[in-house]
Amino acid sequence: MSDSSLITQLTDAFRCLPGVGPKTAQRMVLHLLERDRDGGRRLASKLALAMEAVGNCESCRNLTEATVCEICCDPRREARTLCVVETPADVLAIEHSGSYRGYYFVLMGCLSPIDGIGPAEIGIDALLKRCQKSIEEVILAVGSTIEGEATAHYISEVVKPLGVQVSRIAHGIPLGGELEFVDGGTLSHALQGRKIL
Amino acid sequence: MPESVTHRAYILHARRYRDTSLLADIFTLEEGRYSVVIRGARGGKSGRQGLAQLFSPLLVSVFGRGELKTAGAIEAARAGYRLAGENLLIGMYVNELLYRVLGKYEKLPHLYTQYELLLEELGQGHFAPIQIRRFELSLLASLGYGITFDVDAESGEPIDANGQYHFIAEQGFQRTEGGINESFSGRHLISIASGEYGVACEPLLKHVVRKSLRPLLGGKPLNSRALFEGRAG
Repeated sequence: MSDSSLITQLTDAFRCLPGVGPKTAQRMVLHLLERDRDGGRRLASKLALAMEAVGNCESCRNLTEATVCEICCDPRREARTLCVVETPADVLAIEHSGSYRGYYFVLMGCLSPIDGIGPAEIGIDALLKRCQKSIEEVILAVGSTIEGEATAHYISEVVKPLGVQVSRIAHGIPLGGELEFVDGGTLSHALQGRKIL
Repeated sequence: MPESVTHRAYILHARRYRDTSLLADIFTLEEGRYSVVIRGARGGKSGRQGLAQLFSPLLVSVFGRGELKTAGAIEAARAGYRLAGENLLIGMYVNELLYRVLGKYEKLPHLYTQYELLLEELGQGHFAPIQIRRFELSLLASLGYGITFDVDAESGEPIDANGQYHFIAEQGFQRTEGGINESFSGRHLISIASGEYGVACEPLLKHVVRKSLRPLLGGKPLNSRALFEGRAG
């Protein structure tokens, strides 16, 4: 196969997916061409549609093809709490847990000055605007990394002056976890964040 | 097994690389700053994900001959510094500064020690802007841009305690007859030269350090400054 053949080009295109190397990409391409042309066509058309139509929700910045996403449009949700997460995947994870009924705000990353991600990139202005609409508590559900900590601190500093309560989700021992297998950092966090019974 | 060497290191910055690895810029005691791929540092079964964090003293064993090394194993040298709140943002500022101005494989053991001391102070919850200024001064000195506080750069004479001076980047202090903005009293310069950094010297140092760092940053401002702008503190 020459370098410019469609098959090679398609194989290269598949490699933009995470976890897909040259071998996997080749297997995907051959599968679609040999056995599943319909599936391939469907993939191509949906991909083209989604890439054009999907943008960010005006209210929470989550990915959606509508101006305002489904969650933000749902009037049955608790209007007083706003859960701040890093990525759209985090929204899905919290939704699946079924333990939260409020609204969301997606930062689309966390503060990382070296990568050029500052307050403007994580949408601080939009968040502040969102907080002015009947929000009483902002729950920070950002990762337990240094960047996550910094993001949480920064947001709490800018949100608190609005008179909104700011909380952070707990972190520590996982459910069903045994202490001896938990790393030292997590353990010391868990001890610091202990609860009076 | 390829030959590896163990370096004492701090991660300055890391980004995701492949499925479970990190591509990290590390600042080491032995070899200065360089880039390294840390395998299995995110998720996976290695149990290393909690280790590869900023502000944690690490022992990194690296191998590879090219520009980009691979970390075979990483270990915590001891518990990481627990920077919290505002000090965390300051730590990120310091990391960005080092990331921007340090060349690769430039051995700077003294600066490494200063960095460690600064993290320790920040980790204990202390913060005085003067500590940051002191670190910035030793950074400049390590890179060969040290500032002389006790000699007039123009005449070569010692600084006069009653004189007024202004600062020119990459040159030093020059006597001025006043009337120029941003002039500083000789008394403050002398006290800085003797290692006494009073609170009154802070604005002077800030001005001098910023002016000296500007050419090193290549005209692009530090992104972390945005973290401190537009709010109190």
